[in-house]
Amino acid sequence: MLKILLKRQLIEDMLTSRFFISLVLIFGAVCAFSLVFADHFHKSLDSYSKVMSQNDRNLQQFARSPMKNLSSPRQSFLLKPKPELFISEAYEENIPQGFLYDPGNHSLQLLSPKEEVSGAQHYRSISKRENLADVLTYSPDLTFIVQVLLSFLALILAFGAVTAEKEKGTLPLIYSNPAKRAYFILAKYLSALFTVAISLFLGLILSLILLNVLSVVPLSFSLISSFSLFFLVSIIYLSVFILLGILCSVLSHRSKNSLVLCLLIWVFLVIVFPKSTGMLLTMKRFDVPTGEEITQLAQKTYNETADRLEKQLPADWSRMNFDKYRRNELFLKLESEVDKSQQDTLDYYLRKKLSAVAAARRVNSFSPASLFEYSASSVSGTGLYHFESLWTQILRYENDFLSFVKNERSVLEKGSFFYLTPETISDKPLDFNAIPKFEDKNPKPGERLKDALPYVGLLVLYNLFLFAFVFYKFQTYDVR
Amino acid sequence: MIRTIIKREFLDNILSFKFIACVLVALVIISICTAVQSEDYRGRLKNYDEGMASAREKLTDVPTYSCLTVEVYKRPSPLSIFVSGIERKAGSHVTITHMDIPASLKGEAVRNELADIVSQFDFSSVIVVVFTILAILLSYNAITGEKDDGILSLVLSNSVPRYRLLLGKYLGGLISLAVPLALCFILGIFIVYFFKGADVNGKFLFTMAWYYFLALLYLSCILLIGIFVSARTKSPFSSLIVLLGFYIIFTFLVPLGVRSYADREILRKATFLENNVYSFVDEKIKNSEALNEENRLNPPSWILFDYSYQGYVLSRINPKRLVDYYKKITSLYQELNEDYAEKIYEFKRKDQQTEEQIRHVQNLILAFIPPPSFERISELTADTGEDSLNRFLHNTARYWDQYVGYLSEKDAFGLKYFFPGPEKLTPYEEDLVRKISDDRAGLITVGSHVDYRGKYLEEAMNYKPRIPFLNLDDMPRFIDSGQTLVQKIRDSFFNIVVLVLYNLGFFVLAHFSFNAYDPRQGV
Repeated sequence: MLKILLKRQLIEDMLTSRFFISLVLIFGAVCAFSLVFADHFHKSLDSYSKVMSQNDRNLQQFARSPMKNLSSPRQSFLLKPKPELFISEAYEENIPQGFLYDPGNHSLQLLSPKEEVSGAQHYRSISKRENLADVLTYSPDLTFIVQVLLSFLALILAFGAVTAEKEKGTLPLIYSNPAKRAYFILAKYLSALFTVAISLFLGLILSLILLNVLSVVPLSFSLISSFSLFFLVSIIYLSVFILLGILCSVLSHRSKNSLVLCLLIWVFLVIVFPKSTGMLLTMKRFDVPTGEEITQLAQKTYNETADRLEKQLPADWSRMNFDKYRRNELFLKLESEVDKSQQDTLDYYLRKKLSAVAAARRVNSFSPASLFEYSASSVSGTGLYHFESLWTQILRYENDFLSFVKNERSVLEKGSFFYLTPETISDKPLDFNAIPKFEDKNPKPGERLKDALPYVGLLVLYNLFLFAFVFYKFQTYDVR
Repeated sequence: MIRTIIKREFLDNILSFKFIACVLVALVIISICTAVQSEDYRGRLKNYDEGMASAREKLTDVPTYSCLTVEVYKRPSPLSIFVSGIERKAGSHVTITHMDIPASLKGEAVRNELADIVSQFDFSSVIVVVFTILAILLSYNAITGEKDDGILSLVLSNSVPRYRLLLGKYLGGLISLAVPLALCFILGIFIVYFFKGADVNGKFLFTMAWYYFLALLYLSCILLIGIFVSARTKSPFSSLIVLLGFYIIFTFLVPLGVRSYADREILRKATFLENNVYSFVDEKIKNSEALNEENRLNPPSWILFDYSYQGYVLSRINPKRLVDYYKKITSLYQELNEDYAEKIYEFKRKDQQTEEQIRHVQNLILAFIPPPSFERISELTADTGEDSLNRFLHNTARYWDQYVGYLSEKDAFGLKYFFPGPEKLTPYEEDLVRKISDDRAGLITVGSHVDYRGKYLEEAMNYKPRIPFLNLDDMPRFIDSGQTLVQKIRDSFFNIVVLVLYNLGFFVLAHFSFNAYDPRQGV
């Protein structure tokens, strides 16, 4: 019975003009967006590789004479542009583009989004004026297509599920057949889901082809896995809207009312709510100092710690004759602590910023559209997730680099405290190839999915709840 | 008769669920976002006032003309509470030196750079999102709905001319939009007044009234499109679905596509500076090295040279020959820097012009699509958009010319690092000079010049002479008078005209479609 109902519904859904129009719309959007994406992606990949080769040059200089060039292994670690950005751009251009690591000064600083990364900071091109996006701006990616266009299609397919049948008078007819109510609603749901899934699937295939042809992105396993994860997440998200549509239909007696209700819910959940929670971040609780103030605070911590620790040094110590203490273990320990206190302040505020955004995201969890946006950004490894993963990778690399220098070129006896200063390393050339190099790796699909899991879980919960509600309501629906 | 129709339409509308839901949502969002933005504006205004005060303060203790750097703050627009535009993100001030003509603002208005991910709603977005939807919902069944209910034939049998019915429907819808819109404006202004966001004065209210009119013009356009579509379709469903399809396409999809394409074009074409700046900087370095080589002082005797503020003190007690030498060479450097600042600015201008051209085309295209066109009109009216930023930067560039002119008039260059006190040294200073000159052991060679690190260093560093500060009353001041309402209207004239034309055009179209409409049911 379910089969027959499903077949009938599918034919009804797929042969409507709304399905074809939305298909055309999706294809058009995919084509336009991939045109915009292709060029930009290569350009940003180019500038990324320029910065990476500058890093290599700095490391080479360091390898030639480690002691003299201790300030030169400065490296900029940037967010590597990924082809996955086409799935979800997640405002990656608007967040800080990475970190500047300076082992000589033991500092890891946030590169501000305004900064020109390739060197000539003072002559930042006017064309690179940061994206001063307005409120209602979205990014041209697949997430937008699913979040706004397809969710709308889902509602349009489902709003008349029950009411339209009633108005046509076919509903009592179906009941006269031995069809269970559950089967009827299930058929409606599955058919709409299938229709949406088909259009999404075609859109994804088209974008994969366009990506391959236009921007010459090879079809790697990781890209395809990102696409499939995105497909999965999108289906869960769209299912929420189909269920919402059916719910509206069950709750109202006329299709017209159902459509109006659907529309209001859609506008609120997809546009108004996700776009207005940014106001939360202006609250006192989430307030952070400006960049300048943070630098000053870090400097202050540095000075305070230095003053406090200076007392532990021998009495004949003064700032003018510290050459003598340079290799002293106690001195090195204290110096490392002072540097660490400065770095800790910077890290503290970065974590605070991240947690403020996370709090705003938690509030946004109310809206399935935001949940979808976040899970899409996580499964494709872009946006804030990319930034956080970059940070973790850099911290790991920092350890690797320091322990490499310690093992290779430390002039201190083994066992004594190592701290990277010109006096503690020898000046013999290093093997450039052996120095660990940093590379921004895309986390494995499993890890990405794990990060998206809370959001996806909530979406699934939404689904279950809505499904139960629809089911319950429909059992008591008056079909006359 | 027309009054009856309007009255019926109005009552019908305001008692419907959709109307109440939309208005409630709009009121709630507006009250929250206006309160938040008021607070934000107050913060920015405070920042502006403090910045201006500290800039004035700094001008009172400038020892030499060449140390004269001026900070110019951009005054936040009071209407940014309603139309946030790019004001919060663009920065707050520029620092004017002779080395650089600013092409972007400094100062971080957005504290948490990671929070760019979540945006804030404002009054104008409520109009573009919620009120547009309301206008669509009020008009999609203007004609088809009546037909479905069977009322249309009834009304038409009452010897009402069709154009009157149409006019009545339109005016009824417009009033049902104008009333909640007015409510929102009053609520917004009240919140601004209550939270002391901006100074609610005559000018503010006048601009708000003009903005209200513009919003109504925009909504009337949407309303007429709705009535037109309703008169062309057979059932309210198809009418609503067509309208919503248009809404999504023209509010989100097309503007997004056009803006992204424009962004891409800007990135691709406005690369003049990027392509030339490196060779240019190399050239500058080469020139300055040549300058250094030409004027090399052989051999340097001793100099206490410190680039900090105390440097004035130390340079004061350097031998006159060295002071003269450094005066000369820094003067040459300043000319070089100024020259290059102008050239770099020319480069930047070229890119800026390319950007402006592309943006111009973008705005021209978007002017024909009501929602983005209204967004632009809002930004122009509130003076918070990119045009406002560009105007400010343009003004600062003009001010830079005056500023540099003033400096050269005062013969400022060449004195940058030198104490501007009287020629003759005081007895104490003479004593210090003699002591340091005798202390030959304290001189060490650092790179190309000789540095003093002897036992009198501390004394010389701690010596604080009385520094006479400059009187800068005759200095040219930066004036940013802001846009008057007439200028704002002139800037957004094209967009407004297009909206008016849309209104007229769609009214005529709706009229013709309605005249040919078949009011019978079930045909």
